[in-house]
Amino acid sequence: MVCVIDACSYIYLNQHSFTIAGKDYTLFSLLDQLITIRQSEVVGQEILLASESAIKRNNRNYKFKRRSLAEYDNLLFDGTIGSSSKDAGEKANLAVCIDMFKYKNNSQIVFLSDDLKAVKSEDKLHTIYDAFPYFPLWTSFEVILFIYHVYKRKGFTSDLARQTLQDLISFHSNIRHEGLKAQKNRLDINNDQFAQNVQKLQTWQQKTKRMYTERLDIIEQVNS
Amino acid sequence: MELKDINLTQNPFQDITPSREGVEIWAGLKEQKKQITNIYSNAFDRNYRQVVLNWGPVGGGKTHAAFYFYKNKLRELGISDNQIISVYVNLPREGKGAGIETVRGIFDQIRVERIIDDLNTLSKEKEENYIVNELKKEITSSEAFIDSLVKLVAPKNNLFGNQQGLVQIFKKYIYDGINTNDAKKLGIARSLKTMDEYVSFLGLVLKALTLGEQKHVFLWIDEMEDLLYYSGKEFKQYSQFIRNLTDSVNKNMTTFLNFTLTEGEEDSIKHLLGDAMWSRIDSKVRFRDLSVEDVVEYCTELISFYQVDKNSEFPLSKQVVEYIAKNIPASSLIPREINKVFRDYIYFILENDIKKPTINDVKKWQFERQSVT
Repeated sequence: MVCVIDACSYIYLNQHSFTIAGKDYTLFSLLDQLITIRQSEVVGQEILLASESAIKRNNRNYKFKRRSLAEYDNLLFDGTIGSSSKDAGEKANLAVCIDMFKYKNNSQIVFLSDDLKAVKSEDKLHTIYDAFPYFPLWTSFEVILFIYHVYKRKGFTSDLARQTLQDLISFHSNIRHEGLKAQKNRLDINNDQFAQNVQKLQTWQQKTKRMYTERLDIIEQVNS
Repeated sequence: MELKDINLTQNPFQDITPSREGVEIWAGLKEQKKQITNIYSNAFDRNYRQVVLNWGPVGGGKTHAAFYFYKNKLRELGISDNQIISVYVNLPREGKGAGIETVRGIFDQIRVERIIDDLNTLSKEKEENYIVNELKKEITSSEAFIDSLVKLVAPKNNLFGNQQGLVQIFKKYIYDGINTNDAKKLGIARSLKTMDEYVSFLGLVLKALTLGEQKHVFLWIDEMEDLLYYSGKEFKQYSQFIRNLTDSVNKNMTTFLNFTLTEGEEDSIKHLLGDAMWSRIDSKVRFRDLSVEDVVEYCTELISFYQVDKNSEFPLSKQVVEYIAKNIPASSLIPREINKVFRDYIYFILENDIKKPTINDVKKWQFERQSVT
């Protein structure tokens, strides 16, 4: 099983650490033990900008088999990866998935992205993603479900799964809340809009926590 | 035209978000008021500790309920003001050290001056060592903290020689920590460091304050939904804080937790709060979206508080209120949204010199509103 990760998810999965049997882990380091993690070079660069130590330790950049990234870029994305468009990382990662599936005979590929706006938007990226329906889309939250299912007996307990779920919700929420506060301070939004957006954020928090807690409960039935 | 010209002393719908001013008024929401009043009343009949979850949509009246019951004493229930120790705190926005911050917030609300006065009065009224003996009856109480509490409030131990000095040293103990010299002079062995120690000490103070005649602590913690901003560890610690606090004061205390649920039913809250906190909840009060009839009742009651001539139905007749209420989307039938709509309408009739508004005036106002938006 191979997971093709984007920069956002890399950052989210490395935010909080926890201890299992005296050893420190992050969700990323645990996932890295369980499956192969790959990324496009574009994402590698983005991660490098965010965390310099990351790539030096372990280069996960994917090496294309027959076609180069530039060729995929021209064929599918009108050269927008090369011109560093927005979503360049997601587009390059999609090219990695397509290449890996076609030329490396790997059929278990997960497309891991926390930038759902990019993947689920109405633009071309979404259309191209749908044309190759072989790569399930995960967010960091799905990573928790996966680790809990396969690693429970080795110490990733129900408590820990719920703790890391709350960690992710907290991390997402605080970033978004700070963003809203900055918008309000810049007078980009008024107090009413701020309150409405905070309420939307609360709805997201509660919906996400409820949904993934229910999923953890289901896995728990299988795990027990 | 002024408010008095339309039979009002002030705009009844002025407060969109609850404020601590004007909380003497309770309009509509009869079921919720009845339930909470019963909880207050029962608290004195059966003096055990209880945890109550108030839940419902944003703007549904939970914070107003907290302010109302915080400020309004329940003399009609035969409960005298000094029998109630009311505390209202918000959940700290930052998860780090949130438990300790809440403990300090509770001390702020009760006021150190009151703690010292009440305990000294109690000591004078009762036999020697009454407080120590009573507190020691509970095996969970830490003897070291009982000793600290007694020494902190004892006038003979006052390092500064006046009442202000006692307050000062007590505050140092709970905020900054007292220095070794002062601790030695007072004979206090332990300072407060961990969250558990803060909770133990607060628990002792609350127990001591409710000794003697029948007294009860009502603690309101608002905005519990902000717990979802906390990291996993912080969330767990705060759950533990609530558990420890309610366990350490095992009688004469009622804790209300206000939780805004943006959508879903009661079961969802279990997932959101987690089993640790959920299992501590003894009863629940639901603040729900209102029906049109509820809105009419809420508005007419609220208006009546501010009418100059209470026998008149103006400024808003029942038909007008009902007509406006029917035109509010069902998802907005909560006090906060209702206040916004009616506040604006009152301003409209003032600006347009309408003394006796009719449904036609409402239609005109609605048309103008739609044109603006």
